[in-house]
Amino acid sequence: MMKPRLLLALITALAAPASLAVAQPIAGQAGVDSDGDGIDDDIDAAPCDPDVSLLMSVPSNQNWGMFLFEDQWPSRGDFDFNDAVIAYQETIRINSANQVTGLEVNLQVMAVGARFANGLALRLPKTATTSVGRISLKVGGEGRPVTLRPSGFLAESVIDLAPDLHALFGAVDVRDWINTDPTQPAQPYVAITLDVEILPGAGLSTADAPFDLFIFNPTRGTEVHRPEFGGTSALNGAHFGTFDDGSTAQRRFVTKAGIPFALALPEPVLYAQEGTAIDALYSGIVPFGASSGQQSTNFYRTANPGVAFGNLPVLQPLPAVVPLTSCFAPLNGVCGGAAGNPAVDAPATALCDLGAASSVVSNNGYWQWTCTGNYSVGTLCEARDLVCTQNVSESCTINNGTGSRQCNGSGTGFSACQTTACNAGYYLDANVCSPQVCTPNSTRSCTASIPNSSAATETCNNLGSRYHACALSTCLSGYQPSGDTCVGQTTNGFQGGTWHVQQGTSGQETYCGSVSSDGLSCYNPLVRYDSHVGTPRQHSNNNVNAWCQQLGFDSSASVAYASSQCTGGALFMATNYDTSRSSLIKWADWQDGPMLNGINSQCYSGASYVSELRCVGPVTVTPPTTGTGGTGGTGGTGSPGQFAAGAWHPQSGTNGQDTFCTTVSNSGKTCHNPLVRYDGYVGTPRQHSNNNIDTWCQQLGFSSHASVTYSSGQCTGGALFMATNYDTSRSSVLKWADWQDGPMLNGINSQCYSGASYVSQVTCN
Amino acid sequence: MSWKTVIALSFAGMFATGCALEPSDSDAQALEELVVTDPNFSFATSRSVRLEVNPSTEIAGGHALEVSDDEGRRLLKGAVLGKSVVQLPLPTAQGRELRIRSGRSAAEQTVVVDADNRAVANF
Repeated sequence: MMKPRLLLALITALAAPASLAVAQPIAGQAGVDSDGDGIDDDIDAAPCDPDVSLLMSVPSNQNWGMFLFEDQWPSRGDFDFNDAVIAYQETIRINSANQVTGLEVNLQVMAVGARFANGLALRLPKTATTSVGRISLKVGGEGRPVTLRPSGFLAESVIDLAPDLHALFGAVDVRDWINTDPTQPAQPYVAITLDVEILPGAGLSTADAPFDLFIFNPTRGTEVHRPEFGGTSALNGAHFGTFDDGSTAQRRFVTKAGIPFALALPEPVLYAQEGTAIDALYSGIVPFGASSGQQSTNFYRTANPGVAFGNLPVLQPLPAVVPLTSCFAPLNGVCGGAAGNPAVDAPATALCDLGAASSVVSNNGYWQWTCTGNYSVGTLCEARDLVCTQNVSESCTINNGTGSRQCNGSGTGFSACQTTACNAGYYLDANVCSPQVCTPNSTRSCTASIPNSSAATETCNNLGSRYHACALSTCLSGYQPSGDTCVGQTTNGFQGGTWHVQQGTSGQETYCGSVSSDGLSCYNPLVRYDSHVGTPRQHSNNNVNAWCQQLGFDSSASVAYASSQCTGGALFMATNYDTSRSSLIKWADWQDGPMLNGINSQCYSGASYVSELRCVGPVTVTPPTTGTGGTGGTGGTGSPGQFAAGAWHPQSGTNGQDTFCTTVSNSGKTCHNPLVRYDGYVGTPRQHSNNNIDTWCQQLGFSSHASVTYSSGQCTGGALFMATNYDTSRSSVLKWADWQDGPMLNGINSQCYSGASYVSQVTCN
Repeated sequence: MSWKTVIALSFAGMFATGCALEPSDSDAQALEELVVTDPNFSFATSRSVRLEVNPSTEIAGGHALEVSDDEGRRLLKGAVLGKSVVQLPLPTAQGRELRIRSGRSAAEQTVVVDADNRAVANF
């Protein structure tokens, strides 16, 4: 029956907020039994735990004992007893009915000098697995899953502590000696803490403490226990009595000389260096073994330190148990708000609403900690251990660039890293940063497969991943760019008596019976393909625009037909003949199509043939460097009020000064790159404040000028400016004069000055 | 209250033949009796000590018990209720003396048990 005081305490706890801090102490004194186990608090080893009233420490509460194992059993091997060197301290919990209720085993794995991959386990004699309650195992301070198995022979329990002692130190090779070879760096000890709940009534006897800690090797079927223990069913009993084993019914795992293969010593001791037999370190172990442990029992206190590994081990004492001066009615710990709240980082606050929080550890995807009230058994609390914060993006690593990835909605992983930018020198393509092959938007020369081209450039795209197609830049002399092709450049326009190449036709040419003065009209044209000559006849297929372009003009202006003229036979324009030579539209035989097989057509009576083809510029005239105009020459022939390319236009009133247009546009009203001659002296009009362009236009048959532009590019002969007081013997009107000394008629003394501006075009009305 | 408790020490595998500390008859002191029952006891050869708590009368609040070795290191501390037997392991060549304290506060009794002479002093 619960004591009234305990009942009161419990009621107090239930009524109070869930906090230890506000509960009132009710224990720690004689006559008070807080946990109701019949033992007054002042003498109860655990006044708040009804399952504990007496604590037994082995070897004591203040010092460690040590186990030394030789794993070569049943052979002596090197007999150095450092294959497993383990410090131990056990605390046994006993209740007021003198029953063992719990066990805490603290181990420090100090050295592993084994060539075998040995495991470590603890056997609880006379304790069935059904008598074992909660088990907590920590290795290196971190919780580990526990394997509890029956020993086999008897209804006893075995708890595996470590499957491979080497692995505790991170060693991957059993040839790695841990803290037994003085030439190797010392390794820190590895702590193993085991806490076992023993159900009341189990057969575990404190007389067997320290309990049966042993090493095992499943591969060899061996185990090494202390002499008073017999091993488990996993042990191959056939090893007994073989090699150096001298086991008897009373003492097992001993040599024929009686020395145990496992030593349990009640205090820290020296242990042997690698390969040094134990009797070289402790000579007293020989009589100890020979007497079955009856003599020389203090053999470990007389050592030959010269063969020991290091000095006497210094082991930190376990934290002292602080005597309780007060406790509370038994209360379990209560998890705080952090429990059940998924988190990326280990929670540090709101761990427990009641009780003391343990450290937080990550275990199988969960943060775990315990909240311990005044019961020694804590309440396990946990929260999902998230890889990342849900739906939050973060930067990630991309080769040669930067990327971003987003945590998924459950916080368990990230999306694939998406490239957001590439480093300098790289471009982004399909989420990959690839090296740029060129500087974005830069250009370089290239070789274009364009007939008659002289230079071409290719431009790097704005990513730097590739160049655009090689683009035409300039054409060979005699050709000019037209889109992506080089077309024939008409020089001086149509010329009489000359066969004009039709570009792109691979050999078709046009002949003009006569031409206009501006070179834009071709009268009574004939066409030949190789030696086959015919006459263009009116046909709906004809594309005179293409014809003009083949002849180097921009387009056609007009075409006229007449029925009178025909030579060779009638032609019409088509694309599907003579395609072996060219697939362009071009002239074809009116009769059967191909011209190259001869002209099979006739000059049909009454048919209409091209009498005039008029095309539109450009007509470029090679600028003359000398002139023959004026009174000393033939004079200009250009029509007043109408510029014509290649013609010298008389400037009325100047008595022999003419203006030449290299090209003409704007229906003959704009003269490009004009030159001026006075007799045989040719110069170039230069920008000057004296210039009166209206006067100039009027001299050329126009009313006035509409515009004039200057540029520094073109100059022939020398610079001119307009003036009235030179060459007055010929004319006193305002006219062009030598920039250097004034008169042109004494020769052009000026030069084409670098950087000067010359008339590039003049437009007259 | 008048009561009498006997604590007997025996050693594993040995016969109990006597060597008792005289109990006090004083009700005020109400001390326990410690009995070492093993004439051949040796710390060097015995693995455990058997501690018997034999209260002559039922003691409310438990019976305190504390055992230390000769260097003051505690082996056992706490209390039992009623008649109890505690097996105290003694690793080979544990200290040469045990200090056993029994009872509580003013009624506490300390006995030093020598390996050879057993209970040699009664503090």
